[in-house]
Amino acid sequence: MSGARTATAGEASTFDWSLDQAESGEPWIISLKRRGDATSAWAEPVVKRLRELARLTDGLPLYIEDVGDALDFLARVMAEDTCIPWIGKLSSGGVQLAWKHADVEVEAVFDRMRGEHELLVTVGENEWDAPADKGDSLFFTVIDRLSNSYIAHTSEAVACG
Amino acid sequence: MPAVDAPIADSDEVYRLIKVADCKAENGKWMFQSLAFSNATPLEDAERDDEMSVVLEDTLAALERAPEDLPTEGPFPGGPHGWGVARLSVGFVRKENSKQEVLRSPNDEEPAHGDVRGNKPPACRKRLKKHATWVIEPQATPE
Repeated sequence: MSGARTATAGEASTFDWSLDQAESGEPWIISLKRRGDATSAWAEPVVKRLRELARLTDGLPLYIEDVGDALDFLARVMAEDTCIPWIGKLSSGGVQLAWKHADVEVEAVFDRMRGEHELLVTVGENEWDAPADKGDSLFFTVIDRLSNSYIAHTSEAVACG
Repeated sequence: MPAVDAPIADSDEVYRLIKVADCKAENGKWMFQSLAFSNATPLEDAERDDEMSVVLEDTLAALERAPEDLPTEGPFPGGPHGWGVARLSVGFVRKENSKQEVLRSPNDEEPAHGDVRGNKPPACRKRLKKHATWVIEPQATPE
């Protein structure tokens, strides 16, 4: 599969990405291209991690459409100060994003093979879920508590992604 | 050694091998993530898509093997240092995730092999993660 995708994450963080099938080596390549405004700070480490996952040989290869869905989600919800999520590859080739800080946990799953596109938000013992493509407002209920500036001012000042 | 149709007690444990790619490094420790408790993805049409491989405590004990040694009894991709072992209680798996069955499924490579059968949507995997604890963390050093 080859193609280009574009997302806009706020006025000051417009960026493009493209997902291209490589001739050899990595099954595909994500490349970031600056376009006008500065690329979001989260984009580069996220792409670096996705490239690591693309090289994993266990299970099915990382599924390019799930990667695109995950990047679309991040582009919609990430603010400049939001901490970077942990990113993992499901055995189906899908993508999972996870944030955790103190009693706030967020997981987003993008797995077309299993038909899972879900956002789970937990605060203490309370849990909410929503389809990932309709879950932006749910994510925004906890986004302040996943910001680097908030985390830096709490006693548990650890990276949340 | 328990027969393949012998019951499995709620008080027993099952062990799940977890690779470092499914863990987050935090404060110098490996923290497994919920995707570590996903069902295997079948590579052939005849294979089921609702089973998660585990190792059964009672069979392992009957074979005088210890769960903390499982990574070194591989071979596992990347070598033994990239794998840890988490424990789950059979009773929790059955009761908290009511659509899950725990089955004996010995094979040539692992006579203590079992499966946790049932669909595991993200919320189920998250509950399994919350309940699980390390028997032994991966020995690879977190970056």
